[in-house]
Amino acid sequence: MGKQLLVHCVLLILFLVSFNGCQNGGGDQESGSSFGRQTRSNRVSTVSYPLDYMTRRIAGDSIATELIAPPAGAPDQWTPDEKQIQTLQESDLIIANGPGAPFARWMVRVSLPESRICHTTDNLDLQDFISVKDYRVVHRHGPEGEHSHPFMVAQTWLDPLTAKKQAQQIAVALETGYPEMASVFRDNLRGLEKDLDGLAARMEVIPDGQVITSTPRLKFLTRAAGLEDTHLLWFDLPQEPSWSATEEQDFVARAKQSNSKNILFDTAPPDWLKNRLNALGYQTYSLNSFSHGGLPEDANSDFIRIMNENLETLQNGLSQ
Amino acid sequence: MSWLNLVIRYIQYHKLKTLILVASIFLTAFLPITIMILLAQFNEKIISRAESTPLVIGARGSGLDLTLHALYFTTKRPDKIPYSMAAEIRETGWARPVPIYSQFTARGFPIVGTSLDYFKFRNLQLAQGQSLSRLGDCVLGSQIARKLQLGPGDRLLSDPDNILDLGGQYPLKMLVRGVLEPTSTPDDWAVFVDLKTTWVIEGLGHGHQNLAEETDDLKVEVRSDGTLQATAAVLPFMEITDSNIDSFHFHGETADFPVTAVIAVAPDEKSETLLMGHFQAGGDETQLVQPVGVIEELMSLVFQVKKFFDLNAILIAIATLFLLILVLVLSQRLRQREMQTMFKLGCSRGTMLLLQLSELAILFLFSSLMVAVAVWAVWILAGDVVQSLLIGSHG
Repeated sequence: MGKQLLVHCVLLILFLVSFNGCQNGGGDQESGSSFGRQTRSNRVSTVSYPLDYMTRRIAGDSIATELIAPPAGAPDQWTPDEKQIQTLQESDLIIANGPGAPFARWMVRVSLPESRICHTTDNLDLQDFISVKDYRVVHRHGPEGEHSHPFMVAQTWLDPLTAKKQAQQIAVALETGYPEMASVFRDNLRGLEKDLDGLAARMEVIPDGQVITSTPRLKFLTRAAGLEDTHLLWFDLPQEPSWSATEEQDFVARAKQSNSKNILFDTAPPDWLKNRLNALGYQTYSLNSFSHGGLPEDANSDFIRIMNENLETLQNGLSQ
Repeated sequence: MSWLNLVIRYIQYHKLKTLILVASIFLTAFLPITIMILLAQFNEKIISRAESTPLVIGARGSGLDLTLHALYFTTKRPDKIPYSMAAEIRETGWARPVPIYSQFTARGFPIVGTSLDYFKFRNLQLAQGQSLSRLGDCVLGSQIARKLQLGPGDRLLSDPDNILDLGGQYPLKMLVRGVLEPTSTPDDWAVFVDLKTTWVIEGLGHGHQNLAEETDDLKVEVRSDGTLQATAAVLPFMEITDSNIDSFHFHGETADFPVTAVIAVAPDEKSETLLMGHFQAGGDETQLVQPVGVIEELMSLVFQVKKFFDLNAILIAIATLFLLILVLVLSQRLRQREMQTMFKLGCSRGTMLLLQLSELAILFLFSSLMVAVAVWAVWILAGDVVQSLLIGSHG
């Protein structure tokens, strides 16, 4: 009887231990989720191509870098899918712009580990930011009633010296996250800074003058080049002709504020608009502001090369 | 053992007297022990929660209210501070900020808006489902999931701020993405959402149909300056789905949006001290509190009050003892004839004393057993009782 009782007790203890073990096993599987993640993934995510380029240049091959951006042709209001959100949540660092120059507005629609977001605009001075006061979204929400906010230009990388400050911020974040590779990052940063200084030097030889820009998105570029810029608010250009007489009159009135006959577009304008503007005596030039955020269409191209092309277009246009 | 039979018969016959004596002994012992257990549990729970929360920053005001709000998501809401406070903490480099915005409820339970860092900070693990992924997602504490019978894939509606305010904010139907493992902390009783989701509930962000594509004059007015004005006929989406999430947006800088507290997780004591100095020298709008200090101060007050309870318990015990003695003396007199009869039947004085002492011993034994069972029950339930006391009426 006593022996039987002893056997039952041992069996019961074994059952309890194994049950507890199963539970622990389940817990370990779950720890792979974003909760309680303690280990490094050696992966960095970026939210725009220029930031991705700078991060890759600084990090080199030692850290995997993943660009989370809308695919070509995706609408402006785009949200990453579950897999991309998981990638972001599992990254050691998320390289983004920051308050004052908000890019990748989809970031407000997803849950991200705030402590791992590197705001590259954090070390910019107040005067580095560009606010457009005549483009305001009037709205009403909460107890405050109707109000509006100015439009903050996000394409900071179009100014090479601002981009340099962002690159330095990226390097600091990488050094903090991966201190054992700090010297590699510093060496790589020096190379990138040299290229950005090269772009800044090219900007200085661009003749001073006036330009009209299709949107405020090009303001960092025009400011860096020392150009007086009258911006339009042509954010969405229809491919089919859709210009009413009133709209044309509005454009003419606005364009008269500038002496320039050069209109810079941050994306290729539709043919009908190009023809119409030519007929009115304006020359159009297409630049790349990387506003879409994704990789360049030409896989062989890169940020520095495209910026050089932008400057070449600008220089040629202003010399005419 | 015929004397024991006599004792038992006597106790059975004098039921009311026995019951009163047992109840007196039971209550005299049980009440102070219960208070001691509850207080010990309360102290342990509240201190351990406070110790795991190094620093809290919030609006200037009651430090205790702020601490209880940050630790227990109490319904007494402190004033709001801007979210930029989290950035300010991060920029100092001395601590990692974990924002908290607990202003709304869902079926009476607090909705806690925070960042994913909160889960890492509290070491919360998922029991079912997945973590927060995007706007409108929520993760439930284990007790809420059990009580509301909800799991991954279910929907949970936020409570309207004021049911009488017909023009107030619309409730948001949230998607339950996961359920947390039980922790025996207030986290079991909270609905966790992304901070931005609470801003959507507040009406600072919203999603609606594309006004540029809307042709209904009742919904869109064209202003004299050519801008579009949405009328009240344009309703914001009450549920965030795959098909409408892209339309959700916030107007203004999120840095200006509200939070009710920011937990600052400093890596070491030096950083903690530097951060305290930074905020003590700061403006009049915010305050930084050390939850351990605030809670210890509260508990020292509670223990001061407990001294009165202890004194009270001692006095009651003495009074009960006197009462027992009185009852015994009186019953001795009442039983004189019974004793004489037993003496005449041949019962010795020693046996009669044994009978009376046995009665008393049985009463004490029975009372002690009842106290032991009741204390055991209290010990088991104390955790939950204390927890429900700490988190208010949610449980």
